[in-house]
Amino acid sequence: MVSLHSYPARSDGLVWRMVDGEVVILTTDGNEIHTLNRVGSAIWELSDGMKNLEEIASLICDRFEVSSEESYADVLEFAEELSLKNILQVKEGSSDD
Amino acid sequence: MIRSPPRLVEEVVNRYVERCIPYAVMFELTYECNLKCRHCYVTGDGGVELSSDEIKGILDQLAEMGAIFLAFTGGEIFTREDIFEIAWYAKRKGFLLTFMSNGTLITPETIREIKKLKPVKFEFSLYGARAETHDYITRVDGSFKRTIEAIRGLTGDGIEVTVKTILTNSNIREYNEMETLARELGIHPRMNPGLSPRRDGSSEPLQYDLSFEEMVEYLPEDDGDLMLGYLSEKKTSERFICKAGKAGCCISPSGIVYPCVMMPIPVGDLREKSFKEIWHTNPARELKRLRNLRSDDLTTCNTCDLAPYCIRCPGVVYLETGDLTGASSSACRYAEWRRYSGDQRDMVLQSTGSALLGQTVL
Repeated sequence: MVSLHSYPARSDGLVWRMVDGEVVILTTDGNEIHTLNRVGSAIWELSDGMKNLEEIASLICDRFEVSSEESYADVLEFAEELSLKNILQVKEGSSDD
Repeated sequence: MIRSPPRLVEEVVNRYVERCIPYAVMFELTYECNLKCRHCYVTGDGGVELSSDEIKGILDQLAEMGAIFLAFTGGEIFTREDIFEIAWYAKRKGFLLTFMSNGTLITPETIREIKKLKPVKFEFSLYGARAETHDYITRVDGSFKRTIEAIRGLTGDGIEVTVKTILTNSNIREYNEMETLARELGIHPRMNPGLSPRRDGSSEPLQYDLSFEEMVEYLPEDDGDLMLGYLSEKKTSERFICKAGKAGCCISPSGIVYPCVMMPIPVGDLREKSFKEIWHTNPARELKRLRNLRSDDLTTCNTCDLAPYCIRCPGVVYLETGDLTGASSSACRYAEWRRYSGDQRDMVLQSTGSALLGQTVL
């Protein structure tokens, strides 16, 4: 269950590149490809396993000048969708713990 | 927020092309080779090979620029003692790797290391189904045996192994045997006529090129059909201009950047400038010209009767004529064969159709 206290981390075994502010993600066999929009790309870059979704939402809120409610909704949707595709790992503690 | 539709690869590649971001890079790590293939187009440029550290620095820049697919080629890449140091660095940088090799320097220890590294693809060069043919072309006795051993060692472990065969007048008679051998090895063969002059302009390799008559006699008709299927999917104007210089480039062993491995048009020196400067900030005149090239600029190909049957590689055209806009004699001959093979098939279908119609009437 993803919550604002979850710590998202990019999955191993993926290749990703930032292309003009948008992230392109490929599986290591090169057979599966995904792209993220600018907000998604920013969340992706921040998903280092060290920050929880609440902290990430706050940074997104500042960067894109959106309301807290909007950024909370965005990060939760992002984490749920990408973890279902196994692109993102969501844990209850930070990678430091 | 996330998009993963089925045609996304094409969309992403188009985005790379439009923005001139190098999606796929061919990195020639060395011009050293232990074989002396008769048809080889590679000629050294006299430069000093990049060190491991210089290569790593370039890989950092390529990753920063957005490059994803990285192919290591040469020369023979396994003549470099630091090949795995470079490859592991590239792997950690998140490139999807392809190795291109003749396989003859691959040992059981090398195979173990490659399997750990897990490149996306491993491409071997193989020039015949029999040792005498392959070794005649490579001019090194025992090379066939060593290449086959390496192929056997690498197949079946999650790495896509491909065998690339340039069809020449020395091996075309073994076309069917090569297909059988590939099946037996459990690999995908890629056989096609694709000879070009050497990069220094020498036409020596062309003496091994297939004649039209040899194509008719030995190339299977369904090969022509497959190609015609591919050709019909794309407009001629789209097929005649490629991604070279936009989403694709080649880097030589001494750090010279070329638009493509088949286009020896130097557009910058990575020992003097950064990749970003060469590719984006201050592209050379030749690179800008290539990027602005449109199919309307082609002098003869657009109005040619053979256009619907033609796969025109701008690099080969350049090697054959020294210009990017003309016609390639080898592409013309191959297109002529495709048209001929298509006509022959149509004639067979018509006569079969008539016979069936006759039976119905009777």
